[in-house]
Amino acid sequence: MKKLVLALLVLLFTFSLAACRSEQEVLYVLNWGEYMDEDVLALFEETHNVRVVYTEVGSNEAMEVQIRLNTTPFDVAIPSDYMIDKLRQSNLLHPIDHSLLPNLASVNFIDRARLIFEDEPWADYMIPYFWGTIGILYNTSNPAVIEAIEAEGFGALFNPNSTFRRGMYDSPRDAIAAALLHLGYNVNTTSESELAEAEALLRNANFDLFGEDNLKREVIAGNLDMALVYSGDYFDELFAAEEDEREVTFNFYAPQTTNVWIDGFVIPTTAQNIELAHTFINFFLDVDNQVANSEWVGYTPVIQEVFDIMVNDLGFDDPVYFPYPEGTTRYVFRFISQQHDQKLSDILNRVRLP
Amino acid sequence: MKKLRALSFPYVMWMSLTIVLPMALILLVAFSDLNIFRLGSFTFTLEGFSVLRSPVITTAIRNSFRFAFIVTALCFLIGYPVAYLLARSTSRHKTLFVTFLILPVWSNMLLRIVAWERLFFPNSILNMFGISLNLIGTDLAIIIGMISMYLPFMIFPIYSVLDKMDQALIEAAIDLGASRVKTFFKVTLPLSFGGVVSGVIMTMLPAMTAFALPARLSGGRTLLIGNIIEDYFMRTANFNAGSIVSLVMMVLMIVLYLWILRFDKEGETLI
Repeated sequence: MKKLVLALLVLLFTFSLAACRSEQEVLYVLNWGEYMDEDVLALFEETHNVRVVYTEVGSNEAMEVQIRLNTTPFDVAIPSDYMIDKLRQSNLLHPIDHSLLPNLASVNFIDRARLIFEDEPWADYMIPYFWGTIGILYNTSNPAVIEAIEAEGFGALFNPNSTFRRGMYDSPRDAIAAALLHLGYNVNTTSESELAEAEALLRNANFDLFGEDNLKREVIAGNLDMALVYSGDYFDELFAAEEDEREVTFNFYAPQTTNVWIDGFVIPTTAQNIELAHTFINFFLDVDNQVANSEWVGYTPVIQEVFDIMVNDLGFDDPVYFPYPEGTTRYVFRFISQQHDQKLSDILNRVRLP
Repeated sequence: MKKLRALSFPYVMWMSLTIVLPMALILLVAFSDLNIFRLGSFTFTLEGFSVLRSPVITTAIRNSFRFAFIVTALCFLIGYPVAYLLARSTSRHKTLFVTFLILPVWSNMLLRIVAWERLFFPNSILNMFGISLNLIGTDLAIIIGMISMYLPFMIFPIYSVLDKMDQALIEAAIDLGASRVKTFFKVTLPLSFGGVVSGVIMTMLPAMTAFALPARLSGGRTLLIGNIIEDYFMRTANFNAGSIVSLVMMVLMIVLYLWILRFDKEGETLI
C-alpha cells in the first residue's frame, strides 16, 4: 500500500511539473560563452512569461554545426558577419521581419558599424548585437612585453625568437587573419603563396597555448605574456577586475590595421517560434536592456544610444572601446567557400605538427 | 529459459538503435558522398579516404597510439604491484584502501583534467611551496594526466582476479620447492593474465580516443586522433571525413583487441 501511494505521488509530481512547463513557451537560443547577461535573460523570461533554453559554443563554426544538426530547434543564434553570409547562402536563415521589431525605430546604429553590413546581401537576415576587433591582450607586469608590443605590434606575437609565452586563438579564421595582417595581406586572401607564408609564420611562432576563452585568463594569471583575443575579452576582464578591486595587470593592443567583426541575431530555419524570436531580438534593441547587458558582457554595443551611455555615464571611456577609430584600417571577414574554410582549418592543424 | 529470453528484447532493440544503426550510418557516410544534412541521392566512392594521406591525420594517429602504449605500459607497471599488494593484504583497512582507489573515478573526469591543467601551469597553487611545474604543452603532462585517469581501470581487473585466486596453488608451488620469485612468474602471473588483458583493454582504448585531456593538457599543441574527429564533426561539419577517420580507428582498435585477446588463452577476460 505504502509503495502504491508513493508511486502515485511520484506520478502526480511529474505530471504537475510537466503541466507547469507546458504552459510556458520555450525559446531556444544559441550563443557564444559569456556573451549575454543572465540577469537580462531572466528579465526577458519574466517579462514575457517564457522559458529560454540557452546553449553556448566557442566558435562560429561550432554554431554552424549546431544549426545544421538541428537536434535542438534553435530560434535565435548570434554568429558573426561571414558566418551569417554562409548560413544565408546555405538557406539556413529566415529574413528578419522589421515590422515585428518596434524598438528598431527608436535606436540608431553607430555609423561605422552600420557601414559594415548595410550594403551586404546578408543585411536583411541579421540585427547587429556587438562588434569588435582582434588584437593582443598582454600582461603588463613585465616591461619588456610592453616594449615588444609597442615596437612590433602583431610581430611580437609571431616573433620566432621570442622568449615570451604566447597564446593563439584556436580559431582558423582569426589565427590566420592575424598572420596575414602581420604580413600585410588581405584577411580574405585566397592566394596559395600568401596562405603558405601565413602558415609558416604561425608554425615558426611556436605558440605555448592554443585556446579559446581560456587565453584571457592565462594572460591575466601570468601563465602567458600575451595572446590574440577579441577586443571584448579585454573589457570583460577589465571591468570584472575593477569590480573586484583587483589590480589591473593587463592591457589590450589594437593594431592600426586589423579586422573588424560584427555579430548579429539571426533566426535559423530550425526556428519553431519565429514571432517569439523577434520579441527576443526586440528586447535587446531596448536601450536600458542593452546597457545592462553591455555592462556585463564588456563588448562594444552597436547602438549609438547605448554606446553613449556606456562611455559617458558608465566609465567605458577606454580609447580602444571603439573598435573602428578614424584613421585606422579594418578588414571584414568574408565567406568564400566551404573548401576555403576546410583549407584554413587544415592550416591551423598543420602548424601544430612536430 | 525461453520466457526469460523475451526479457532481453528491449535491450536488443536498444542496442541496435544506439550501436548498430549509428555504425551503419558511419559506414554509409564513410564510403559515399552522402550529405548528412541534406539527405538525397548519393554515390559510393572511396575518394574521401584520401584524407588519410594528410600528415595531420597520420601524425594524430601515431600520437594516439604512442600515448596509448606508453600510458598502458606505465599503468601496468604501477598497477600490477598495487593490485598484488591489495589482494595479498590482510589489513582490516583493505576495503578502505580499495575505496580510496575508486574514489577519484566518482568525480567528473573533465573536472580532474582541469585540476591537472591548473597545477601544470607555471603559476599555480603549488607556487606556495616554491614549485612551478610549467608542464602544459609537454608530452609528460598528457602522460601524467592519462595515468591518473586510467590507472584504476588497470588495477581493478587485476585485483579482482588476484583476490579470487586459489591460494592452495601458490602453497603447492612453494611446497614443491619453487622459490617465491619462481612461484610468482610460473603461477601467479599466468593465472592473473585475464585481469591484465582486461586492464590493458580498459586503459588502452580510452587513452587512444581521448580528446578533452590532450586538448587541455597539451595547451592545444598536440593533436590526437580524438581531436581530429571532434574537429571534423564539431567545427568543419565534414561528417564524411570524420566518419572515415573514426572507421579507420575502429578497425585498428579491433585488430589490436583481437591481438591482445590471443594472450588470454583461458578466455578469462572480464569484458
